[in-house]
Amino acid sequence: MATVPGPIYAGEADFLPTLMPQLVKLGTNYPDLGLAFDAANDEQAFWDLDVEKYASGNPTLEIEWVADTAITGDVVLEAAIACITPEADTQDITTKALATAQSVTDSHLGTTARRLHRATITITNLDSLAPGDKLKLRVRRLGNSSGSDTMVGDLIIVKMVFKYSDT
Amino acid sequence: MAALPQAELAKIWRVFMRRKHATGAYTKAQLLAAITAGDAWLDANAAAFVAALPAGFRTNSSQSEKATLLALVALQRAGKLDDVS
Repeated sequence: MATVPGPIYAGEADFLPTLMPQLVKLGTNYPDLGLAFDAANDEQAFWDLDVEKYASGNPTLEIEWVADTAITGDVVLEAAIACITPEADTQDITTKALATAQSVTDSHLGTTARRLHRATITITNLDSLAPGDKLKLRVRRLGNSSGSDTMVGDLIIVKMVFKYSDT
Repeated sequence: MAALPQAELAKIWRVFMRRKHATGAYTKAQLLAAITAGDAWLDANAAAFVAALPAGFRTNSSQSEKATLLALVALQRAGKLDDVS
């Protein structure tokens, strides 16, 4: 049994016309591209993922993030997927809905605003995920709709890893 | 003058965070409560501020000008005047 890791980068994101996070470049000695999710909105971003080797089980999404300015507080992040099987599903790809989202609440560890955190979400709503599916991932910060999201300022996602089992 | 409505306090809250002024160890709710209290203090002390102004400016300026003057003086004291000028 092997876990297949799929790195996901900010520069590969896609967006709807509204509630999009800001693409930012951080760093003094080297650049780090990130997506800055507002503290007062439910901003969201989307990615296309490769799941050719998926076999079974619940994938996990590891989200590496930094706070823009805060050194305390909690953030609520949520992930949802939509899967379409080519040559089989009759679903119109332009109207496909996402499966129910899963969320995680992560806490700022303090000391330094832009220290690197990792929050992990287990994807349990698989939308009939199958190997080779066209998979769309949505990641959202619930800055507006969740009272548990208390951290001031932007949350900046710098990298994610989507992991699944190939057995 | 009355206290600002909730929607305008929320706007200040968003701008405060969006412009990266929120660098302290406090939560979003605590920040909003502080903004609300700050506005309430301004509302309660507006007459005293106006009375402290020299007569030439006090009698020849609008309420908006007086409020802007207070805001810019406060911004300069905070080292933030260049952010808006």
